[in-house]
Amino acid sequence: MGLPGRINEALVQVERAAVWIILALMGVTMFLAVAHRPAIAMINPRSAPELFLSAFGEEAWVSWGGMLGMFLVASSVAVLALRTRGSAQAIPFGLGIGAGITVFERIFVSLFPNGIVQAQPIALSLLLWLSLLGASLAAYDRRHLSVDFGSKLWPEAMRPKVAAVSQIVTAAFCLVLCWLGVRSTGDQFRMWVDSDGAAAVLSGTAIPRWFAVSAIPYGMLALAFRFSLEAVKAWRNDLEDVDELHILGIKADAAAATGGGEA
Amino acid sequence: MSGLIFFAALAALLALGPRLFVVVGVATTLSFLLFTDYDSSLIQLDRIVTKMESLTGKNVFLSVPFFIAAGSIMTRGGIATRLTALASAGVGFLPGGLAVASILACIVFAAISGSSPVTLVAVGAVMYPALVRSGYPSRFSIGILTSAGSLGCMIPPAITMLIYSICVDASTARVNPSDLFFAGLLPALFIAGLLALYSIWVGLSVPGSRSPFDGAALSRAAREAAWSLTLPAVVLGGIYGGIFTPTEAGAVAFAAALLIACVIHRDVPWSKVPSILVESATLIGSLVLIVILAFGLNDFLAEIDAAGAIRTWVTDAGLSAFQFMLVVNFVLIVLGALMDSISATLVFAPILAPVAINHYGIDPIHFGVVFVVNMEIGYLAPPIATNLFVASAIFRQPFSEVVKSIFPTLSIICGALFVLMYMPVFSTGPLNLREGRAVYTSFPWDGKPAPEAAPGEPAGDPAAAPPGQPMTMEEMKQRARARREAEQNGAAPPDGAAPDGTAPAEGRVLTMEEMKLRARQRAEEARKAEGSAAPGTPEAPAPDAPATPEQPPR
Repeated sequence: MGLPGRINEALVQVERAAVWIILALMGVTMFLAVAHRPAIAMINPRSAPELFLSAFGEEAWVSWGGMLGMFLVASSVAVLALRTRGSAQAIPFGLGIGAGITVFERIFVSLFPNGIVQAQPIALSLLLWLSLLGASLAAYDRRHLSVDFGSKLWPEAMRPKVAAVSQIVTAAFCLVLCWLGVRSTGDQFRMWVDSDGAAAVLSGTAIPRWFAVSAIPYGMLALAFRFSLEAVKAWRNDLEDVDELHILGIKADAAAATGGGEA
Repeated sequence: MSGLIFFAALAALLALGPRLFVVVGVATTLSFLLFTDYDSSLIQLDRIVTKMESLTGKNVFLSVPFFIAAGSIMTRGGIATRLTALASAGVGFLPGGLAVASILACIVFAAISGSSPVTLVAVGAVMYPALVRSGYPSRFSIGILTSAGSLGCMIPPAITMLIYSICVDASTARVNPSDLFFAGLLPALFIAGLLALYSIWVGLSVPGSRSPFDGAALSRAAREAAWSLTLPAVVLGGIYGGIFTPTEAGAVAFAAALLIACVIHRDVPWSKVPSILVESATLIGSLVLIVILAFGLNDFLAEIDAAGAIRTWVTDAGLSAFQFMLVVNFVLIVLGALMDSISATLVFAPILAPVAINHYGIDPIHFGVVFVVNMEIGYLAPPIATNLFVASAIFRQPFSEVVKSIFPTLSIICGALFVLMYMPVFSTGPLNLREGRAVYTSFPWDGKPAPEAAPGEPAGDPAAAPPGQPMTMEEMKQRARARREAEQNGAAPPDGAAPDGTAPAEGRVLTMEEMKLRARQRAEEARKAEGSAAPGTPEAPAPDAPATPEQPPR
């Protein structure tokens, strides 16, 4: 496909790198926020028994007790996991991992004594990017669900041209959404600038909305680009058919594993 | 005339075989352009993008990518083999034991993967050859695996359930996804139990269908599968133990999947993780694009009060609660057979749930479970059922053969649906028990809301239409106009927005004008308030505040 094809391939590499980093970042942030909560409760306790003990000036002991509890839980899980892995040194390594997790959590509790409250808003701000980049990659991999019963009504000879028109309509629709997205992002950006960053931010954070929303124009532009390329391919009758398994992301070789021929 | 243009445009589009998201998006766009009468078309089109942006405020939706990624990671390894080995060792001694083991393996695998087709492929790949080798009829084997695979959409964390709770939460009643997960367990086990009984009955006539019980083999299989089984246990235990919310459960499942698959079992090398995440993101992208465009369609349906029109229609037709549920199930099974479950849930749950909940007094949780069972049947009901296509491809059987194979088990699931539909105790009973309420809840045969709030707590009917003729399009437009005028005049609009016109009703996104107005107000307040939070700090006000972090259910 010449230059557009090369641009497409380069774009895919960037998008692939971006989505796995975004997904990993979202996962790590959210997981740390969740895992951190019991750690706060254990190390920096505020439950009734701990408050009772702290009334007798035993707060330091309670904190150490919580850390010991965490060390025991983390070590036990680590030892069991290492045993399943077949590690010969499961106990010392497990105890080491447990100690490491406990120290890490102790530092974390000191740094974030009230928990990582920003985790969810940060993940939500990345969700739109993840979704639109994923949609763009799905267009590249031809994984978008189709309502294709209508196209099968056409004579065989006309189907490539019909498919090309369908791709053009899809690309045009994406372009309209891209334009609307640009308008919206511009509005959000102006509001954010006009209010010196006080408004047009995601709830509970300083993250500007235009950052999250700008995923829409980008994603829609990328989709329009990919569907335009597909339209050209379809017009030239170069577009291969995709089956249900491909769209569902199921590897074709899974079918071979069933030994279906034996039946 | 508008209706004619709408259907002609949609028919022309469908004739081209377009992508599903385009169909949803064009339907939304045309609906706003043709059936609402704002002064500017741009305002209506802007609303579609505004609705897409509202994804950043939907906390519950945050769990969907994580569950998809966790499922992708877990299914790459040898989990299916471990689970089927455990199930075979556990129940293989029963008549039809291998078939029962297949059902059990499907249930657990579906809970981990969150996907019916993936469950069918993973467990089917292991169990189909084994079933056929053991002498089970091929048709029975295909039928039982295909049906049990579809149980995936009922086993937590089920994405269809999450989508239902998002849709119904925004439109009608507060539906906690964790309650819905809990409520779906017993119906899923009920269906699985019926399928197991059928398998035992078939197994009685298959000579080699039983294997002697081996305690040592069971213990060995349990040890090998233990870590795989911890994933659903951690997710469900964490949610119901009050450690984390259903939203956060996704991230925990994601981390646990990485730990189990990459570190403990070493089924998945770390080098493969990025490509699995990219694969998951692709799946997420193809799904979410439909979802965010459908938000706009939901907004339009709410604006024209489509639920009110249906309510008026059912009142006019004199449908009892019994008849209403029959009609709903018939419609949903047909729709489920024609559309994918996520799209069908997105479009029809916000229309049907308000009528069921507010008009007939059906519990929102119970209705949700029935809705999801219908979607499960949609995975199996010919002609356009996802699992049938997948079964045809992976078992290398003609589609017609798969359709014939599915009928006995499909009949069983339809029978189960009938029981579940009119016996809400299956879905609400465990919740009532947990909450310390009377376990038995009867179906509202008289079609009146129950006096005591049920687990989902129906929120009343703020916009109940008077009984009479169904609303015409003109009446719907008038209703929308009246709502806008009320907003402009500063009066409380029918959907509950604040008189200043800047606070939206729950589930409604601010228009750009409203956001600008609010931003100006906030900016002025910020300037006036000396010593207040610096701009850009977390305390800084937001134009709208849809996303408040959830608290775990304690």
